[in-house]
Amino acid sequence: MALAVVDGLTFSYPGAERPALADVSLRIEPGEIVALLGPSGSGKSTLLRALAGLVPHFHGGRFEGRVEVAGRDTRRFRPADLADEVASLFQDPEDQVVFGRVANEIAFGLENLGTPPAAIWPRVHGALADAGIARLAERRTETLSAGELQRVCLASTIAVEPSLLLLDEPTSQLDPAGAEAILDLACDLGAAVVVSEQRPALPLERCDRVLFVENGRLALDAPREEALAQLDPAYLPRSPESRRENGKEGAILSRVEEVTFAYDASPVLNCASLELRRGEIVALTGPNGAGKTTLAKIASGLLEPQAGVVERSGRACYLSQDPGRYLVTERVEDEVALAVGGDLGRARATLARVGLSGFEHRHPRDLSSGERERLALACVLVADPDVLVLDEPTRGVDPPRKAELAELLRTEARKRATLVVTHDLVFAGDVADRTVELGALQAAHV
Amino acid sequence: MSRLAGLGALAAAVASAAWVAAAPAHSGFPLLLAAMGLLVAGAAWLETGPAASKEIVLVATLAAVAAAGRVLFAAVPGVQPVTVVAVAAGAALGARAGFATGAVAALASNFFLGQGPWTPWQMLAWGACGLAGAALARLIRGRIAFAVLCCVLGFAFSAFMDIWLWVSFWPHTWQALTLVVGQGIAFDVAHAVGNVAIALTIGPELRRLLERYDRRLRTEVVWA
Amino acid sequence: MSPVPAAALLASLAAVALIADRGWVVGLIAAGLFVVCLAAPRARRWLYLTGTLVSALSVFLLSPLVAHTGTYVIWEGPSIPVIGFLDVTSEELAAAGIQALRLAAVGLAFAAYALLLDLDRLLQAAGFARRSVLAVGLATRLVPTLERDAAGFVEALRGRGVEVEGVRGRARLLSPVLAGSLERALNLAEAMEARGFGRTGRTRAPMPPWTRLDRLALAVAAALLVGALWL
Repeated sequence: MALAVVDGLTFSYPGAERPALADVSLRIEPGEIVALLGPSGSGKSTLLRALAGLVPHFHGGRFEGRVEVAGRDTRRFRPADLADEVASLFQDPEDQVVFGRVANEIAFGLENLGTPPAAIWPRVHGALADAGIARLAERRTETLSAGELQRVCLASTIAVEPSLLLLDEPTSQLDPAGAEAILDLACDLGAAVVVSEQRPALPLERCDRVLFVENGRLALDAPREEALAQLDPAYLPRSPESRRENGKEGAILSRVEEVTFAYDASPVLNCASLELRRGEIVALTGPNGAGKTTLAKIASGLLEPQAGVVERSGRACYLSQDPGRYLVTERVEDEVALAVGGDLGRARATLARVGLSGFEHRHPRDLSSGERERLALACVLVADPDVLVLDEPTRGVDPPRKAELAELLRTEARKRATLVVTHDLVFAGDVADRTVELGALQAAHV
Repeated sequence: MSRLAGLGALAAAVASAAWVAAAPAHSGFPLLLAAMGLLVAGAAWLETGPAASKEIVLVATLAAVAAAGRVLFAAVPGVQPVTVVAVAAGAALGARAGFATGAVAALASNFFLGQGPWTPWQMLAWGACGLAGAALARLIRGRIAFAVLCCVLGFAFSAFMDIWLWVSFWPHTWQALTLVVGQGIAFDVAHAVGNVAIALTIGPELRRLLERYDRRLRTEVVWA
Repeated sequence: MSPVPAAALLASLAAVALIADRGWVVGLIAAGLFVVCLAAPRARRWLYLTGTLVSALSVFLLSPLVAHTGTYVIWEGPSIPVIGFLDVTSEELAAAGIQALRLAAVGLAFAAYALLLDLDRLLQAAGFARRSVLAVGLATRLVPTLERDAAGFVEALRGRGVEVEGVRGRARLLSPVLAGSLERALNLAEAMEARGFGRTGRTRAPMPPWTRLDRLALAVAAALLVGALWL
């Protein structure tokens, strides 16, 4: 008896021209681990939400076909009615947490489900222990890091003991170690898991079956071994290539020497050094908390170090991790033109370079996530900076788009010095001339 | 159960008001009771809303934006965006959400700026701004009309707070009232002017934003 | 102490301060509450205390000048337009003192509750007004997040060479912060529904049982209120 059945599902969001999902049919067996892959905007999130009942009850729209989970048809059962069998984990833990104290946060789900009061706290502490964060039980949620917060959200789902766990890009805010931890925990629960990820290597290692969604259609539904043979090679795990150092001798455009930086009492960077030359692309890697973003901001002039020397020539631009920060104006071309004092001509040219021609008059918030990433890139490219610093530009980006980005950066490399901060070692290998690894509090001498 | 509690609270508020009228000298206590009664009735009103999460989360978020804005502009005395956000919320989302937004914003921002006996009165006053926004929604579509309403509400808010302070703790002479009003006159003017400035800068934009999300709030499912 | 008995005690103290006629009663309450407020962490407490103390001080210093009661004149001043003839009688001074202490007591009661309150625990204890408390809890939790969002916009603008300056500059950030917050709101609402919010038959996690201190507080609160109303 299948745990979940999707039969001829066709769904369009309200006011959308084309359906988000078209004639999708699949079955999920109890305890199965399913990897859900596909390009951005292909319908992966929509499919996950359909399994939770959020589509259509929360989002509205036009719903055809049938989705049944644990014997309950989502036409008759609202998402809250399914919450005892289906649990979801979304991308941004900040947008999932309701309470100020971790233990109360976990208890929230149990309270909603009508768990007998005597059983609530034992289950809360059990879930915290299973997630490996028992020590966080009394902590305030606003003091936790993204990785810890996401584990709290996972513990909330563990406590409910669902038979189906839906993960919608849960690790995009996390570094590789954190991502592995979350996925290991989720897959060891015994529940059926459907996980959608833009770093396909992680779920592909652990899954029993692979679903590939493209343009709202289920292009592939096969057990793991078969799927590996049939998948688009961009989605297959790859080991990082190491690029030969070309020994370019371009002028040094940004030099950071022996800098120390601390946000509060404990230093984040200790005697770190970095040199960026015109014409080269440098990748900066390392675990979360090692100070990569800090070093990147110092190199681009956004932060002043407490000790050490910073030299820079020409204009520097810094692309923030979160493309949502590039949605300040009401029109795409105005947004891009901000960096060049309102020059719409240059803005339009840059939009063409990133593949967004035709979007000039759209409202930035109407753009899909992939389009927003391109918009953010356009916002910094338009100024033609001499030093370009990109902070995690591949977060949540699908593999074909990553290849495009690498291509774009390499084409433009000779004009400037580029620094790319990234967790993605494969991308780093593709795009960079050399890779610098920043260990926690270690000096990075380059 | 909520209805009963709400009606009970309203009755308590009315009774307290009568007590104030009967014995004005000792009005501090019954006035506080009246305010609390009205707020409890307001909370009961909120409970009668739809069971789903959207309304309550939206109220909390708008209140947080208003509160964060108030903290942001704390350095400039009297200027704060709560009135403008409450009116926009009332206009776009209706009376219940408008009242709740104003009241919750007052309480939440006071957690950062300081709680005092004025808190329940600020909650009521800003909640009333939300109600005003809902009642006059159709009239305040234009930038100027919106700003005019926010200006008027700014003065009304200040008057309300001044009168409460005067009745509760000052001698009941009109000279005292003048003094109380005079003490705060600079703040009151800054408040009204600030409201107008913020309303003119972003009032219609706020309204547009909330209406963009209106579609996503009142979702309809078409079953095929 | 549990939130409900604490609220009851502070409420009854405030009520007594407002009802009682004897200066020493009100003064004692105000002083006691002041001491309680001092127990709170340094940073926040002065913020809360300042407003109350300033208002109370202004009542004490200024209201005798505008009252017209009493016969035992202590000081006579000039006549000012609008306000009128300035004089201070000892009765007025006494009345002003009590009113100032009342204001201080009520203000400090609110401040004490806010400073020492755990909003989470109150939310757990809340029975009938759950949604309102949830809204307040969420709003308070979201404020630091929104401030970080605003800082993020500023940083992204600086990263492109655009500086955000002055009141107008900061006011214009309100719109994207609001837009971003609305997106967050929908995500949060969705997550809450996925966790069963709105289901009937919701239970409550057991609260720690009331200690003797809680019961004592409740008893004292009731006694104070009865005493004040009777006397």
